Amino acid sequence: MAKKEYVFRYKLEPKKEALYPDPLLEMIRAQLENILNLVIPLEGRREVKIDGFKLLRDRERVYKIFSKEQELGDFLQERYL
Amino acid sequence: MNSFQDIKNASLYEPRIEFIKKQLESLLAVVDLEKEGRIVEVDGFRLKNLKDWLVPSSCDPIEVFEYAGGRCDCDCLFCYNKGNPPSLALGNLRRPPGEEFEEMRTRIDYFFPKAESSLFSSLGEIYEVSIHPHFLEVLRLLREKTPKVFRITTNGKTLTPEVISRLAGLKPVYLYLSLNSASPSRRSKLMGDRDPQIAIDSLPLLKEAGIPYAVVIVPWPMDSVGEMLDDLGATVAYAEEHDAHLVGVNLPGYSKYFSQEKLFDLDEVWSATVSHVRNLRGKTACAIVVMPSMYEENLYEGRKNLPRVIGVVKNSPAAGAGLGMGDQILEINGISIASRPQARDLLFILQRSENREAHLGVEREGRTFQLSLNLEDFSYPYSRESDNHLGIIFMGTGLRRSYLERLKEIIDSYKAKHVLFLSSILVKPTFEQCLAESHLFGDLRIDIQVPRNNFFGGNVFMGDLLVVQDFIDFIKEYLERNRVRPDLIVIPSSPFNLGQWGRDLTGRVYLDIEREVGIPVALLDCAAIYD
Repeated sequence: MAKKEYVFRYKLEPKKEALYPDPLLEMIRAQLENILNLVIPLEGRREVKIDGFKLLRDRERVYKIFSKEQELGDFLQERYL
Repeated sequence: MNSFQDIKNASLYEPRIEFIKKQLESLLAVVDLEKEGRIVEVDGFRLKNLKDWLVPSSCDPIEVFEYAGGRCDCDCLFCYNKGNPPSLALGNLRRPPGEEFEEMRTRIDYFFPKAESSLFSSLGEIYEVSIHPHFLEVLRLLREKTPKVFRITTNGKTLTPEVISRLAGLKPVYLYLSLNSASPSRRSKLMGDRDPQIAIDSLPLLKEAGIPYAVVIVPWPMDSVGEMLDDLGATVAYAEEHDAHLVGVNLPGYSKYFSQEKLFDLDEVWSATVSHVRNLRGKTACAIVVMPSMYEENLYEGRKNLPRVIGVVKNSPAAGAGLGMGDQILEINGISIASRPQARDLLFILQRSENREAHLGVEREGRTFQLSLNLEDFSYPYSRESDNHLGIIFMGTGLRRSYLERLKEIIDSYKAKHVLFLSSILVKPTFEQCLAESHLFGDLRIDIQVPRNNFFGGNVFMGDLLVVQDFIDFIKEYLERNRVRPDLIVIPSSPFNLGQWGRDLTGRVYLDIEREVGIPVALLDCAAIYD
């Protein structure tokens, strides 16, 4: 009998926690949070720490990426936002 | 179709799988997928081409056979798995053994020692590997892939003459035998082993089969500390009688999930055990290591990090040359030795070399002299494959001085003037000594603090078991207590080392610390401090 290759399967669950009620905004936030837990963005060779974002269509409003309790660090705000 | 994998395990070692899961979940919150005009409901995903999921690896065979350890046939009073916090990223899948075997066989197919790559780890809680019905078959398949030593931890319940004989056919094999007691009644009570004689009788059989082993003891005060120490002495004597490679004494502890009640006085049990072991070392030829070794070092050694010998492996080159307990190594093949990690590194290189001799400068009771080690003159229980330092046993790994150089580089890169360094109770004394002896830091302010381990709680205080939330809680308290804010926080990387992705034992990324406290956090690359 041919040898079976083991299948690495993972379960998907309905998304539970949302920081923002607007689902499309929440999708962008969640994707950013997710990627920022894997990589550190650079500007040139300088590490850039990001904790918020703006939408190109509305540059007045700033949205947090991480939890509501997240402290927007002074060093982050001054240097990068 | 086999079961779903536990995403918690993957998040620790290969968070890109958790990344995919979260990406898909966030997309599926706003779109439906379809095929040929019909909505397709999905409830999972699978990895497509396993070759894409290879990661750099030392290809230690334990990476594969530990997946056999999903269950246990003992019920140890001290079992640390019983005290695991619920949010620990170590799920236990409880799959049928045949399915576990399929996974291990696939892992062996993707196990490439020459290319130093293998499939990502995804381990859950590990219990007893040897009771898995396919365990020996997995070892056989692995032996076709690698000549590396199989280092197997076992409670010894399966070590019948037949199993030992089959293990002997798979050499090199080294066993960490959790004997805990050579007394059948104590072993039964301590481990819930209804047939304790199998493990107890395995020691002479292992010797006969030429399989070196360490006898592992968790000194657990069941009735009294005195009774526990008497049994420890008797078990060490039994191990010595049957030429154990060494005895490992794992000092006991428990988390708040293990017991809310105080089960024993940790300092009383630990200090009495260490004192007793030090007494036993003078009377036995078998080396005895106490874990965590830095506890003993802090208690007894004024100067830390010294390359002092606490024992030698019987019939090893070190034993043959007359090296003994208390000797301090000053020189190895003409190279002056300043610290224990340096001595260990050089001895490790010699162990793996083709050299026939090694020359050591040694200090013994204030007297210095030279010793020549014949590296070809050895016999059981020493072996070239499973030993690392020519038979010399030290008090743990020690602290590398290169860590300080790396710390200085980190501080310079942040241009920091005031640094908060988060250490552990065990490492702090050695780190402070190394810092005081270093000229690297000038008048830089480095405040060394020790966070509490609230996550595990109980009497657990190992720094490597701290999690992101412990660091956040401690730093917030620290900032409330102190008016001056540090401009950099440095944390040793060892609590985040399991998968090289900066995850703690709950799978949370260390970057959350600076996100919550608002001060830059850097990890200082370092290995776990003890063997």
